Amino acid sequence: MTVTLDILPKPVVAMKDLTFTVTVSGKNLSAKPFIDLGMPGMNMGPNRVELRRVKDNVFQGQGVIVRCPSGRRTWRATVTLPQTGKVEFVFDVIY
Amino acid sequence: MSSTEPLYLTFLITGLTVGFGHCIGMCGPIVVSLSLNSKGSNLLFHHLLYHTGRIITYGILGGLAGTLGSLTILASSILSLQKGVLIFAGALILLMGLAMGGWIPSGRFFGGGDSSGGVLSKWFQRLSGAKSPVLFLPLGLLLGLLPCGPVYTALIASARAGMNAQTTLEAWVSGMGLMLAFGIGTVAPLVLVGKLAGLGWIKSRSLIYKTSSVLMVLVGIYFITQGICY
Repeated sequence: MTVTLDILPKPVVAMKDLTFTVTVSGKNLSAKPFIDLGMPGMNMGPNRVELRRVKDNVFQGQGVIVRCPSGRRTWRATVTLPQTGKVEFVFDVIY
Repeated sequence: MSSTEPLYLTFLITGLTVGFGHCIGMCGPIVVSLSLNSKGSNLLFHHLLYHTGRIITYGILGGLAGTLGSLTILASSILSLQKGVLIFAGALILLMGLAMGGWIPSGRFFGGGDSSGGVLSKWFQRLSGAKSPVLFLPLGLLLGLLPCGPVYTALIASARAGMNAQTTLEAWVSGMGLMLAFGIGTVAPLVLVGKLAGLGWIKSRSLIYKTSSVLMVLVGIYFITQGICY
């Protein structure tokens, strides 16, 4: 099974409306996945992106990555596939 | 039961947990500064006034986010204001650190200094004076605008709650309620830090006091730099 995450528009800028797309291949999901956004090593509060099915095994949702005044730019998106597992993506954003 | 009500509890707990981590790191220097420069007897009252002001600002921001249904619109509208508040907070901490360390001849800004200081010193001294402790409230109102990641996150929830509301009033109330819950959750950790910093044994040891002054100067410079770059 392969899970990919795409965030548009690029480059990914904090404090902008973003579209998150999760594509799953090799397994049919019965329930919709969701994404929890967080900063590694720093509790920024719960920031969940709810996804809706747009095609077979392609899910999309809107979200915002917030800006941390400390200047840290590394974020983590945890994609949860219900009854299957979790996948983490770590990436940098632009302020 | 409204679908927003479980979220109130979630964000109350979020405020508490974030308070013991993120808030102590980012806003801790402010409450420590207030404590180190305040007279001991009214310390808790001063802090509660400060946090009340901060929570009121959070509530208003939450109401606005709920009504707008968007964090990004709200954030772009108040960006310049937030930059200014960040620089102001940095300047406040820097000046208090310099005054506390005796590097500028104006006494302790928040009381305890001599009464012959300059206008700035007298204004700051009034903050903790018995006649005007209520000035901590507007300070909290202003510093509630400080840019903060967890506050933004809570505002996202407020905006979403507003989008699910049936009326503008409901959007305002649900957005405001979430931010009030979040803000109330952050109070206990910051009051605890403020009380610990205000303990007499810290103030009575000159080395710790001097070290605190240096740290306040550095934090003030850091805040100002972040504000300029924000």
